[in-house]
Amino acid sequence: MTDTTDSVDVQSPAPDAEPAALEARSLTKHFPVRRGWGLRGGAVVHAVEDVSLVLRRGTVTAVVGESGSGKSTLARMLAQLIKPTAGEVFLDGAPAPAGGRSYAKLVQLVLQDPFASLNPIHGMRYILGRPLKIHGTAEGRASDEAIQDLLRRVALTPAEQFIEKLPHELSGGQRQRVAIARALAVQPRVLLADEPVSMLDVSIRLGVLNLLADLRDRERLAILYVTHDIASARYLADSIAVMYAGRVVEAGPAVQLTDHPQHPYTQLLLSAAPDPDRAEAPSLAGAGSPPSLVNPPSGCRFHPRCPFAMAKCAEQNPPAFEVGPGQTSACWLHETSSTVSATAVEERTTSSASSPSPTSSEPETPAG
Amino acid sequence: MSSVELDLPAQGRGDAVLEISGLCVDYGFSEDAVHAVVDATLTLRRGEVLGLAGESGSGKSTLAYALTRLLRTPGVITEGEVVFHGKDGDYDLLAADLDVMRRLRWSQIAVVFQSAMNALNPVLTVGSQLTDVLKAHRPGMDRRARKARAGELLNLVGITADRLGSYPHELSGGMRQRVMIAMALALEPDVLIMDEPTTALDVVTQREILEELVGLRDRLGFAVLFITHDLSLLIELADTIAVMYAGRVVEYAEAASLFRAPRHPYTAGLLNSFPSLHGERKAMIGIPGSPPDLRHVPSGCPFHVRCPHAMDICEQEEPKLIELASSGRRAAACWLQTEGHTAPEALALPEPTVLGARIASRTGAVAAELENPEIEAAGSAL
Repeated sequence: MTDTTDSVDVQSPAPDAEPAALEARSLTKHFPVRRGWGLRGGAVVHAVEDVSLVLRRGTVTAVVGESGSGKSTLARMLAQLIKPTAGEVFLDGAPAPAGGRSYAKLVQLVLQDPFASLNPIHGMRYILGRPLKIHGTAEGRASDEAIQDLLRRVALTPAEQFIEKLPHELSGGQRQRVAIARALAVQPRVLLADEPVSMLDVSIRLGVLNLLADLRDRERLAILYVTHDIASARYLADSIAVMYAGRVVEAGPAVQLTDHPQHPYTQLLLSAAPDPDRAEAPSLAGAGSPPSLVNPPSGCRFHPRCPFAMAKCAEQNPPAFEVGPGQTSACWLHETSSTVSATAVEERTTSSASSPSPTSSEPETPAG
Repeated sequence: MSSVELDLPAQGRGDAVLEISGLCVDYGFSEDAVHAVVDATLTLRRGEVLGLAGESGSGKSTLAYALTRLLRTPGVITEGEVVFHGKDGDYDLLAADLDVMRRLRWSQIAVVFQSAMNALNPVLTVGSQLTDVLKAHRPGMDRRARKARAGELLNLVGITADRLGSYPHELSGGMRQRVMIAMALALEPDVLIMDEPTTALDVVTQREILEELVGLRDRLGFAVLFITHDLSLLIELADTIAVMYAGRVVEYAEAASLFRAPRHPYTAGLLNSFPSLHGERKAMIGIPGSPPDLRHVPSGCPFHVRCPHAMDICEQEEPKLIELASSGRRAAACWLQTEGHTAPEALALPEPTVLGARIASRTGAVAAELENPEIEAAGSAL
């Protein structure tokens, strides 16, 4: 995967590297917009532009961005719920089969709102039995044993009691666990989780995040974690890709990226995130809001807000420059300043991307 | 009832502007009633940002609706007292008749509601909605003056006056939220109640608006009751924080104290539910179990079923919110903090000596514009 420069390959390439469980290569999605009567002028929303992303087995990859950054569109393209305008999805190193059940058996999507994603009139036996039946893992009616086993995998115990319940009898966190169990029923290799905790109460969010971490470690799932909360991405994910206005602006190992953000937008995002540990109030560099994606800014899409914008930024879209071990930043500032980032890199201990407790230095505020 | 009699700190923050004591709110009647707010006692001081934190169903919004008497049936206020110290005298808000309430609302107590972004009328321009407020409450103003004032209000929240002619759909979510704040401030209220005002916004916009809000507070001196589920945000924003659980105020403290040295296990659990942006990653557990169903609140302390430190007494008797002698201006409702019990180390950390970073107004010139020396003192104390 080193043939594409902006491929988000944040794992240190181990000699026995297996092919990526799921890979997006230059995915692009343009949605046509209706203006007045019918389609006129061919105006399109440039929702996702040339995004490459690699999901490996046994890792969590987070996609972080604000609303409208294209992160959910990306997840839906990876689930093949919508067809990309350009680009390809690779499954285990080979072009993915077009949609349908054979694809759904390998790649499953968990949605944001567990209050809307479970049919209220069906009990757990039906909700979890359906995928078992449809995907042929169970003959005829799915056995209670298989369903209880699923419930146990998402820590809904005692399973004998939960199997009898209806969605309204469960709390938000329990419902999200059921939604995850339903995705697990087909024994997928890839789990795409689109904002799985943002609708849940704060005190139970961590329970669901820990469940995802557990599934990564125990079942070696490749997990995509889509979120707007960069702190939770740092907590759960092995690597993070930051999206802005449809493009990946920075990607790298989770802790390294949040401790040493290189792209001005990542720095802005981190300075705006609530953080009670801060020693002093941050100043927001690049305030304002994301651009319209119907007429996105030329060149780098962040340049109208960027405090460091140069003439070049308005003209050419920056490719991803290497700014650290496994860390890339799509910013012209890093084109020539490889020496600058190299010194920044020296200070870091080389943290292996998949290690859950990287040996990072003492807490420090992101360099603005 | 052991009320939270909290002395004014020496920094000279303002006097109480809103005093809530023993407030109880039920939904429904008889024994089926759901007790949404139970015996809530809080004091909001002039110029202060009081944060009210809690999960969904903790009663934080109900409390705000109750004290402005905006509760819809079947919500009923069953007990308590709310005293508002207004510009022109004291009012007992729960006893005041509707005419009095109508005069007070907006002009002295303004509310920014949860879905404020959608609270604007989509078929009227922002300008006409702003002038409408003035038309109703300031009958003496003529058209030109109203328009000028509306433009001034937009400027106040960082929007240029030429946006007066815009319709809500022409504004971004953040701008609509700013318009709502401008509208709430139109009549220069003493108290601004904000119910999850930034929940639907992106983090960057959220911080911009909060910086704006703090700047306005410094300048105009109103007090804010800020309701949110995001405790990590409140610690940077609020002066004091009250944490609610199952309709009860379980802890009340200054922001830095609450963050560095929580005294209630629920607060400690909540703080342990927000992953940090710095340092080593470590496994966090959040709080086991789920928030209680208000129809079947556990006996005794409602948190005891999820509490890692639960004792026998917690199941039998509900702890009162008591002032903590050791530390002055803080209170907690937990048996561990009462006499004869020793709190575990995590709930007995020493008070912090330094305040953490605060969301501050971005314009440094604000201090020069201050007219009220009292507020200035409060500002510098932050």
